[in-house]
Formats: sequence, structure tokens, C-alpha cells
Amino acid sequence: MGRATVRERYEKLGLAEALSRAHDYPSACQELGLILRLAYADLPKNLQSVVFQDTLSAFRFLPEVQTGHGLSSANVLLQAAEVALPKQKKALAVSEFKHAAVAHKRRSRAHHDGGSVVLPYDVLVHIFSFLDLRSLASVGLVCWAWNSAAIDNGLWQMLYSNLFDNDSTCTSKEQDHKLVPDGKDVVFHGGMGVDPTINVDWKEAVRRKCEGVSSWKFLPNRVVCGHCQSIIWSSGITCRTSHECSKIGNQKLNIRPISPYKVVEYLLGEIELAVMSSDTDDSDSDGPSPSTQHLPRLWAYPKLSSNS
Amino acid sequence: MSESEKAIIKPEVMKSFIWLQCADGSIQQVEEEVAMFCPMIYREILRTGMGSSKNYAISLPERVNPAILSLIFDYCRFHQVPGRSNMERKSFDEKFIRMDTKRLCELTSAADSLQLKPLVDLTSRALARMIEGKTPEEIRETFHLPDDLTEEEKLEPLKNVNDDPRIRLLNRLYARKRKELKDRQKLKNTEVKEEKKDERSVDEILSFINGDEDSKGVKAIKNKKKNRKKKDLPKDISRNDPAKVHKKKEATFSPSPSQSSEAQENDEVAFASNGEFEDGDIDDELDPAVKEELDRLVLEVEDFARRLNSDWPERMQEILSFGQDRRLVPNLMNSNGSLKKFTADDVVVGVPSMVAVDEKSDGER
Repeated sequence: MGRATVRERYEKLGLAEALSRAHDYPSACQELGLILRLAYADLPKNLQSVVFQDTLSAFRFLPEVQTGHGLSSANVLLQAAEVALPKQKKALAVSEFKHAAVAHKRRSRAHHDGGSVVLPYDVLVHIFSFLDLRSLASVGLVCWAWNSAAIDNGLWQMLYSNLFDNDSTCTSKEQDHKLVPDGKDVVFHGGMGVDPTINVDWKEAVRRKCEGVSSWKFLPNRVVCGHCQSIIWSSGITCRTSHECSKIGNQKLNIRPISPYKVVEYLLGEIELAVMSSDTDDSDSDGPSPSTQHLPRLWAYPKLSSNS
Repeated sequence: MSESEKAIIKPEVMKSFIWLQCADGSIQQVEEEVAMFCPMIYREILRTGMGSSKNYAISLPERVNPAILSLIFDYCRFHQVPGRSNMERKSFDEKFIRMDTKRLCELTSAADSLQLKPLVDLTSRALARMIEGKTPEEIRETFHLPDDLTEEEKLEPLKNVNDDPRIRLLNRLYARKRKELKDRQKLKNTEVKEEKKDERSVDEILSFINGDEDSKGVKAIKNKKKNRKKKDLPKDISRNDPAKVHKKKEATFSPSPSQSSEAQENDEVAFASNGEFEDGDIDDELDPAVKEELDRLVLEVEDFARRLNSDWPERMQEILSFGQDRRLVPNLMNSNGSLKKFTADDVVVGVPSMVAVDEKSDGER
């Protein structure tokens, strides 16, 4: 494990870009915080300064992220920085955070426009097709109109095929059963199940997949593609955008969740993704589960998570 | 602007304009090539040949208002020019969508009705970006949406295809009621009020006993019958309440709903026990004051039942006032005869799950 490879792996994680995206900001802060706590001391000097710069830029992005989750994850990052960084860097980080917190507060007070707009069903479904799993689940909890659009079967079918099983888009041998997911996931809703392709309840299918594999339940920030061994943000997989894998060929989709701790281990070169991807299910449920306890459940109202 | 420049340089070149009329009646004109960029307008022109003059303006769908229309035309005007690079278009788009949420929603809706797909995609993506990463409460704040799902629906997003607007409105009211009750609990106003009520009625009872003994006998028989019927109703309700509330408690296991249902239960039990207290303490022969209380309670209950069965428009009026003021105007006193129709199951004064109420009233029919 040479210096070059650690650096490469860090760059593959793409934290700097993720911090600039408001919806990935909390996950990126969480990951960066863990890296500071667990890996900073073991990193080569030049990578340490990169991590430090990313921490500062995280604080600089804070005013743009006007969500409660964003603010709390920035706090978590600050705590991690106070623990891990040497004196001078720590002082810089803390002052940067203080400036950012003030700007954040100022901007949140300035937000005031009134009136609501009723968006028609089709438009809502179209908007939701750009959302990832976590957002689609929470958007159904907002109000009745949005709930009825959020449970649209087509959306969940697209999501299912992007996350779990892309057979619905590929040509498969059994043409009649193209759209039917694995036997145990199928739930038929509505009248007669004569033609299985019509009556599949895709939202239920997604839910069952998530409940079956424990690591999906806890809102993974990151997932791994089993074919190309890349770590991707789970928010990058939406109803419309799937993971474009260079190495998948005609094989079945293999996307698995990965916990932040495992991401740090990957960074330090302690684990191989190819090996890990098949073990994830077991190891996440037995292994170090301080992470899984803190991460919120997918289907309930998400609470703000904080890793101590 | 390029158009005015062109007009100066080549005044003989007449640009043809298309006339468009919004739903509110205002008429705008716009250059032909800009208007043709919208598929819907393009088709209308080809199909009907309208739009060439003010009198024959093309009517636009109602989702398009004049302000939004001019925004749309800015977009069309920029993009219909063939010679622009992708970078230019992209940076224009990014600047274009910087507006407040409400406007962005209106723009999305209008673009959708005009079938302007690239603009719909652009605005939808922008809205999706605003939604991502927010909690439902934050989303509600951003878009000013009502909180009208029941707690159960929030935990188990239901596939309720029967969109009954009455249920939606009632849910909204229940959410508001729950908040009100929470506040009231803090201030402890209800207890004080009800105590006052009790005292008054006791005093009146005493004064009545001491005062007029004769009129008691005359009304005795009638009162007995009426009071018995009325006693049945409140008692049944209070019996049903704990059952239903407990059911609700079991169904919901997250902290906030159970808190609110507890608050509900306390309030309802207090209310019901108030009725009980009065019933227990007085004789049947007594007293118009207590009878009035019971009448009022019964009327509330009947009214609620009537609401569940009546027409939507008139219900809407009633419901909107129900949420604000619990005291009812007793409009018809000859409701005693109709008491027999209602069983205790029809009417539940409390906050059962909306599904239960709906089933019951449907079952009635």
C-alpha cells in the first residue's frame, strides 16, 4: 500500500465535489469526519493537507446548505476536526466554522416568500423521477397530494431496476416475466394476477428488498458496484439515472450498501472491495455496529443522525 | 435588443406576431418564431389557423398567467436561436432558474401545460434539487404545503386510491386540532373552563331545588325519557373513546403521535367525564340548565354525524368553522326525535383513525 494508492482512493471518493452539492453535503461531512477520526494520523503528509483543505471547504459551503441535517453534520465534522487535527490547523478550522455558522444563520433568516402552488399529479411524478431512494421515501410523507404522486408505481419500478435488478430493461430469456422481480419480492396489488407483469407493486418490492438485507435499512450514504468496484453515492442512483458500469456487460446488477466505517477501511487499504461486496450483508449485521445504530431507518421519519 | 435594432436597420421587414390570450383575459403578442418554439402553440396555429390577430388570439391553458408567460417567452426567445453553443445554453439555463420556489412551481406547471419539454425538465430538475436531502417538515416549509396526512399514513404510506377531499380536509383539521390541544394542555385552560361549567350547573341545580318544586313534577316524565336517551349517547361515546383511542395508540408507535393521542384522550375523557358527572349528580326531574348542556353535547354529536353524510359543499363551510369554534349554534331543537337513528358507533367524538370513521359511515349506507 503505497502513498500513491491512498491518494488515488481518496480522490475516487470524490468528497470535494460532494460537499458542493447540497443534498450530498451531510453524507460527505459524515464521511470526512470519520476519516479525520480514524485515518488522519495514518495518512501521508500531503494527503493530510488535502483532507484539511476539504474540511475547510466543507465549512465554507455550509451557508448554502439550509437544512437542519446539513447544520448538524457540519457540527459533527467540527467535533471530529477538534479531535484529530494538530493545533494550528484546528484553530483555522474552528474559526472557519464560526464564520460559516454566522453566515448560515443570516441566510436562513432572509428566506421569506409566501404562498403555495398546487402542482398537478403528472408534474409531481416527473419531478420525483429525479429523486433517489431516500428522497422519494421522505417526499411521500409531506402531504396528501405529494404522497399520491410519490407512490406512483412507475417511479418505483424505475428505482427497482436501477438499484436491484436491471432485468426489466435488458432483454431476458423469459419474455413474459421480464418485469417480474425475484419470486420472494413479488407482491400483487389490485385484482387478478393473471398477467404478472401488470400487477406488480414495485414500491412493496423495493421495501422488501430493503428489509431483507439489513444494511439497506439504515440509509446507506454509499453503495458499491460489485462489477466495477467503485464506491458511489447512493444519492447518485435515482429513478432516472442508473449507475453506468463499464464492466457489467450482460450481467445482473450488483449494487450493495457500504457503511462509512467500511469506506474508511477501504481508504486505508485494509479491505478489498471485491471481497467485501459479497460479505457486506453478514458483516454489517454482526460486525462493528455503532454506525448502524446511529443511522436512521429508511421508512420511518428520518431523525438527525450524529456519530460520536 | 436585437429585435429593435433589426427594426431600425430594416424597417420594411415586418415581423409576424402571434396573439395569445391567457385564462384571465389579457392578451399578449409575441414574435412568431418564439411562439412556434412551444409545441402546443405550434399545433394550435397549424390546426386552427388562429393567432394572427388580436380578435383571434389563441387561448392558453389556465395554468399559464401573464407573468409566467413572459418568462417562458424569454426562455423560448433565447433557445430558438440556432446558433448558440451548448455552454451558452447551459449558463443561460442556470441563471434562468434562479427564482423563488413559488415561481418555479408555477413555471413548471405552465411549461407542462404548453408541452415545452426542455423547460419542464429544467425546472423539474431544479425543484428536485431543492427537495433532495430535506426532511418532510423542511419540504413543507419550503413549498408551503399543508400537513394533512394522519400519523398512520406517515408511518405506513397508504395506497388509498379513494381520494376523498373531505378526509383530507378533516385530516388537516385534526392536525390543527392536535396542535391546539397541545397548546391548551400547556396553558391548562380547558380544566379551568370545565370546572367553571360544573360549578355553575351545581349552583343552578341547588337554586332550582330550593326554588321551584312544582314545575319539576310536570316536566318530570318528559325529562326522564329525554335524559335517559341523552345519557345513553354520551356514555356510549365515552366508552367507545378509550377503545378507539387505545386502538390508535397501538397502531402508532412513534413518540409524537402517542403524545398527541394521550393529550386527546385526556381531553376527551375530561369532557366525557364532565357529562358523566352531571348525569350522575342530578335527578331525572331536574333542570333546564343541565338539560341544555346535554342538548348541546348531543347536538354536537348529531351535527358531526350529519356532516359525515351530507353534501360536500355545505360540509366544507361547516367544517371550516368547526375547526375554529367548538361551540355550536343549536339551530334545530326538534332533533330529539331523530336520536333513535344514530347508534353510538356512528359518531365518535374524538380522534379515531380516519379509516375507521370512513368505514363506519360507508357501512351505514
